[in-house]
Amino acid sequence: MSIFKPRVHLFITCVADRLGVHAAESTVNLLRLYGCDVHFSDLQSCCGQPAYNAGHHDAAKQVARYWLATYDKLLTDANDIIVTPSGSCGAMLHHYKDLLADEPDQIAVYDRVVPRVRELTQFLIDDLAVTESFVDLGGVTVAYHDSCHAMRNLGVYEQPRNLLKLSGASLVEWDSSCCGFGGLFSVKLPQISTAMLDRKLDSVTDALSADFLTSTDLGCLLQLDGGLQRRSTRIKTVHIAELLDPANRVHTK
Amino acid sequence: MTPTSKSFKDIHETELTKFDMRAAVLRGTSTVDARRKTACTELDTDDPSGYQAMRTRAASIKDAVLADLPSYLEEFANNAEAAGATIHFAADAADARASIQNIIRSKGAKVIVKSKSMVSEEIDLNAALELDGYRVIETDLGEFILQLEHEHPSHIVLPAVHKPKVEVERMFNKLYDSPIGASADQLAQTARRVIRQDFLDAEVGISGGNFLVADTGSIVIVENEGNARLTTSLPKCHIAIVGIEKIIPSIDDLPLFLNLLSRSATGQRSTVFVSTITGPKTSDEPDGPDEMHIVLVDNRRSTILADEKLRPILRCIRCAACVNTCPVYQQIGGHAYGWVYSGPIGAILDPVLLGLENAYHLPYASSLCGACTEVCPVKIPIDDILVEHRKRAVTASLTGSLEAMAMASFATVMVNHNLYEAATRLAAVMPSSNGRTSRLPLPVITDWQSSRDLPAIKGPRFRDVWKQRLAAAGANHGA
Ligand code: SF4
Repeated sequence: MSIFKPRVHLFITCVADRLGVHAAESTVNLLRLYGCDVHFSDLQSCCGQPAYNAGHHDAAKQVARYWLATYDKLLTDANDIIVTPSGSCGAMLHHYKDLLADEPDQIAVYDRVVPRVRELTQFLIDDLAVTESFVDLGGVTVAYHDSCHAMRNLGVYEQPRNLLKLSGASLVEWDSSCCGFGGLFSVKLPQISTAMLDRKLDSVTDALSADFLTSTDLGCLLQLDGGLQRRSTRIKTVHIAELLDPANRVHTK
Repeated sequence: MTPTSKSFKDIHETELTKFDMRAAVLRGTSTVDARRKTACTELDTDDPSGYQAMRTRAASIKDAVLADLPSYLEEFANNAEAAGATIHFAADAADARASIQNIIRSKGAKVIVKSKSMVSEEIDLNAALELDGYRVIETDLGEFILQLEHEHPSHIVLPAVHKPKVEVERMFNKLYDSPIGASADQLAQTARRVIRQDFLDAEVGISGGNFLVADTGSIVIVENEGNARLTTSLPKCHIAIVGIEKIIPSIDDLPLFLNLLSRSATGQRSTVFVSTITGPKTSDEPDGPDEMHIVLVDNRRSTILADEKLRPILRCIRCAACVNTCPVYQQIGGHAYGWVYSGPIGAILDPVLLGLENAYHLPYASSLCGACTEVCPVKIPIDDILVEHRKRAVTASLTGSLEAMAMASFATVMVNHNLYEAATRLAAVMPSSNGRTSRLPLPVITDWQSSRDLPAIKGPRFRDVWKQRLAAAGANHGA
């Protein structure tokens, strides 16, 4: 790990702000444990993904411009980094380039800001090159779920697995398909979304089981947890930051 | 077939209740998807000839063709005619049917054998020919099964993937006295025995085509059963129906495309048969048809060509890799999409071929997981095109004013600090018990709660926690 203290601006995302407070808090704790100087601006809101995915691009553009302006002001040093605990929201930012393609001023901001965005585990492994863990998850079995957007759009695959292995957790193999969340998809076509969810959950509850089910994305976790709560199972759904943060409630229960 | 894509919302719900069908689809597609993965990873090396480089090369060859499609078509037509074939250009489905009907009429044919062709489904050819009084026999095993039951294909490569095998066993038992429990091989043998006489009787054979080779005027057909080879060589007259996007520039490009197609479609290094057909029988050849007609079908493909954002759709080589890997298709099967092309390729193609107003639900039938884009051998940005169609559906006011209002309000809240603060605080009024939000009769919430719990929205937001303790802790931490 480098000796200088990286300055990290959080993009916590609207979902975590409201529905993933523990995940967000653990993100802060974890970044601090790994020596980062963590900042949070309460001017932030959402990445605009719901509107973008649904095809409402005028609405998405408004949110995109707001996001770019907010973070452009925050980045005052060439080494400043933006970290988000949600790969899908991080991936959404990359769509701004197409979305705002007719607005050269916005593209200029995009080029300054978006290349500095990292998904949390990506930042820890790829930028900080961490080699130690602050928790001992020896004897704990974890089913890791790949968020499609984190995996396919950001290349997040080994990083979360490496962090879990550093902590001593054993990873279980399970169905690797999409969880069926897809934002508005989950409520526009709830029956398909649920069929996809059931396929995944069947594979982990029936065959293997696990102590925890985790991911880098709160959207996926909302879906997976929502389904697990309707089944009788001991599996707990937590964000990966919560698992890796020694101060989190999951370690005290 | 009459498109029913407009009723996707109702149809897919019915399809979801067909559990045997769903099990057959999931099993069939997962098996082929796994084979594809093995066959493609085998080539996945870092060297410049590896799998990813092959995809890039294939995509750019296709793009070069599309940038100059009229001249490639002309080159193909000239070379095919020089080899003795007759070329027919068909602007739309009616045109294509008329060309084919004219040829058949002039032959005085009664029996027509067909090998697999999705374009023939697209132009509703069989129905038209049967109305004219011809006997039309599908000779691909899957298509043969579907024809017996008057069903349409549910998949562009595995037409009968939705049929549980026991159903086929029972049907063959009833019709042909084939044993219950017959193996796939035995079923194929039975079908072959039944079709054999038709091959000998048929005056006309109709096929599709996987590639049109511009510099030789050849059409290329890949298959595993040998029925396409018989269809194109036994009857005196062969008619090939092919979409105009199937052009590749040169016979030298063929190995690349064959390699990608067979691995992506079935996970085979090569299909069992590859027929490269250049014109009808020549005077020194012992067999083959006396006449060969090639019907080049546009049917809105030039609309796609003229549309920069949609143009990559025409790179498609119909391998169905995107279909097999699609977690949505795997649940609902192909008939839910309501027309010939289903799965991700259908969701981007049908809205153009049928008109967006008739198929705008299809692009929404995706979680945008991107699995399709990842496996497409010609690198079509399928998920981006799904979003592009959604954008157009919104612009055309197809998605309703309620949604438009909701999205406009969403944006207003997200770009206004005070409104965001108020809205996220207000969300906490939702009643809850045991840490879960109570069941509520609210639009979006009800749909979510139909099958999933929602955590309680209460207590401080992250921004409150930050202010209350995290910011200060950071100051200490930093000191
Ligand atoms: S879109 Fe790509 S993956 Fe899908 S059928 Fe066409 S070529 Fe194959």
